[in-house]
Amino acid sequence: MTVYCATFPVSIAAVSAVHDFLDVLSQERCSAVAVHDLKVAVEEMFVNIVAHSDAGGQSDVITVTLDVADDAVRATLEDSAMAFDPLTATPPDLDSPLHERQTGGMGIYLARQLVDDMSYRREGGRNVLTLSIKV
Amino acid sequence: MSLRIARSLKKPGVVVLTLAGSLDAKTATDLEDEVGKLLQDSDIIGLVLDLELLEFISSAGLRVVVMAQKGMKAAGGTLMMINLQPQIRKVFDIVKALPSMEVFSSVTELDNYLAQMQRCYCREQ
Repeated sequence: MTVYCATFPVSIAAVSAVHDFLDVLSQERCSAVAVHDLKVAVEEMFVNIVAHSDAGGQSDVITVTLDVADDAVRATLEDSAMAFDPLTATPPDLDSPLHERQTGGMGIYLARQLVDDMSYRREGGRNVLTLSIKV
Repeated sequence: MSLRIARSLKKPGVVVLTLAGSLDAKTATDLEDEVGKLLQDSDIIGLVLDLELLEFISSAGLRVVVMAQKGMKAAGGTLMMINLQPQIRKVFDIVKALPSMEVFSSVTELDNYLAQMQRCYCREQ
């Protein structure tokens, strides 16, 4: 198993750097589809952490760790902002016409659909969110 | 990866924005600004987003596309999309966005639609 780890500022501006970091997976025999889908999911959850940090409970950095195994990649996002479990977020109403929908919740929903597993735990004052995708 | 936006005029009143690269939380505002500028032009009746070279889209990108659709509708025009790559289509599909949008798989299909639109538009004038 190969492990990659990087820390990013709690800012939307860091999203490009997060994408560049995830591009390392292209050299790990991961399919292009898996890399794309994981990038979308990680961006959505990263942006979500930034939004919650703005709302209160500061975090200095967001740490992203990639565990690459033969059949799956696990991406873990950690921050020290106030506890927030994205798995409890209300799903968006996908049956109403697009232009009438509330935009909130769409990113988390999209991320959950794109990965095979998402789990959350609060550990030592940190939010630890893990996304897994088969490659 | 950055977002590159190329603007061209397909026919009078119909603008094509060709997007290349990544439409994500960081770059979505670039498209938002470009669409905002176009919507100030009262003559616009059609906006085509050509996504052939778009490699990545997240919900921030989707939001700008929806915003562009609303803006075009409010201006009495139409937003159209063409050449969605499989990974882009998948994202639109998951949030059930495509049924509400004008999506074309080929330039011929788009041209036929535009010819039709132009005829309707001329009759209204």
